[in-house]
Amino acid sequence: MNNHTLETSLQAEEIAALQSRLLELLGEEILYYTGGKSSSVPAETAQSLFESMLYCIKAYLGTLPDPYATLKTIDVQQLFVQGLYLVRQYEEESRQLWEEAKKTRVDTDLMVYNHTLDDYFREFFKSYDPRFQAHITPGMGFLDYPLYRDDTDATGILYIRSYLNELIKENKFCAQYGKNHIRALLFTHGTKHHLDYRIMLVNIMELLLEEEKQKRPKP
Amino acid sequence: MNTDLTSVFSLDFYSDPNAVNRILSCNDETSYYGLSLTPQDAAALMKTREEELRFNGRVEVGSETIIKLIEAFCDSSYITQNDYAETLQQLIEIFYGAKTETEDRISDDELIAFLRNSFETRCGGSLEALYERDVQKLAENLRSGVKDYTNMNPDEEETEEEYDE
Repeated sequence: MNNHTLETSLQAEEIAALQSRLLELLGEEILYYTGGKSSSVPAETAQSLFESMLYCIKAYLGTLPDPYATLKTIDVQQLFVQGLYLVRQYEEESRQLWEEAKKTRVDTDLMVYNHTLDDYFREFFKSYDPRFQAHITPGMGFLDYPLYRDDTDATGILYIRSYLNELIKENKFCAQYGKNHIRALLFTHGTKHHLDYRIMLVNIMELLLEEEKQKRPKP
Repeated sequence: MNTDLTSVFSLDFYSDPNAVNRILSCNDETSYYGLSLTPQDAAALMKTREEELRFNGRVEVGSETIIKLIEAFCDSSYITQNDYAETLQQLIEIFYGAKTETEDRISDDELIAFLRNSFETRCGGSLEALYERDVQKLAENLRSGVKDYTNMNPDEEETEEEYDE
């Protein structure tokens, strides 16, 4: 689904009505955000609150077979409530995925891998705000371990959930290889690039796949 | 769902189609004090509100602040029908300026109560003194973490306490 489809599915009056409701909802969010103490906030805060609301709404619409019909028939506040509930569920699910990722972790002294798995996610779950900053991935610049396949279109908790799912798959793939085998592979890679392998930014599964590819007899 | 909703739903953060009617409905109460606003006055207040919000980099949904200012100041002994609309315009400027100066450390209701009390007592009805002196002192107290931040004369009180002793 793309912008053209959404805008052609809704009439101009329907979009205007939705915008009016979204504005009312934003007013309520601003009051909730300030604990009822202020009806105005800095513009950046208002923009972020608005994007967070839309993130939750979009997360919920994304689970429905016909999101356009839902936008026309269900009040946007109800969509937001359902979306926020879903985002909080995703957060809880991601915590469990993190535990699974740690249980299946690759036994390696590759620092970026261990830092990401331990430190990054610990800080992420402390800082993630599903209500007011659902769309933001805190500390994104420090999520350093590169995945073999990464969904870079996603943001917020949807990205984290996707990342952890992929990491668990990669961990299970890497479990087929011994600790010493992986260490030797990393060491060789580091030597080739004149680097201490422990500080490299590499994906372990990618190196293993490359090694397998090179072992196959050439046609 | 691949749609970027923020590009489809762009909000006009400053609009409030019901604002003028809500402002005019305050005339029911303020007429008791000989004060009333015309539809043109109400529209001008909303325009000032939008300008001041933009100037201070703030967003507010709805016109609640204007209503609260009208309700707080309508019984002031320093406001007459001649200067009512203009005074409200300046109070709107002062309010949003104060929210910025105080870095959102004070609630709307407490700020309006402070402005009303200062205007009526220490400032003797002077809006200039209200903003240039009392609001600045309030902001300084809040930024410095002073507990009794609405007290504009802490030194005088200390002197009185010493005298009593």
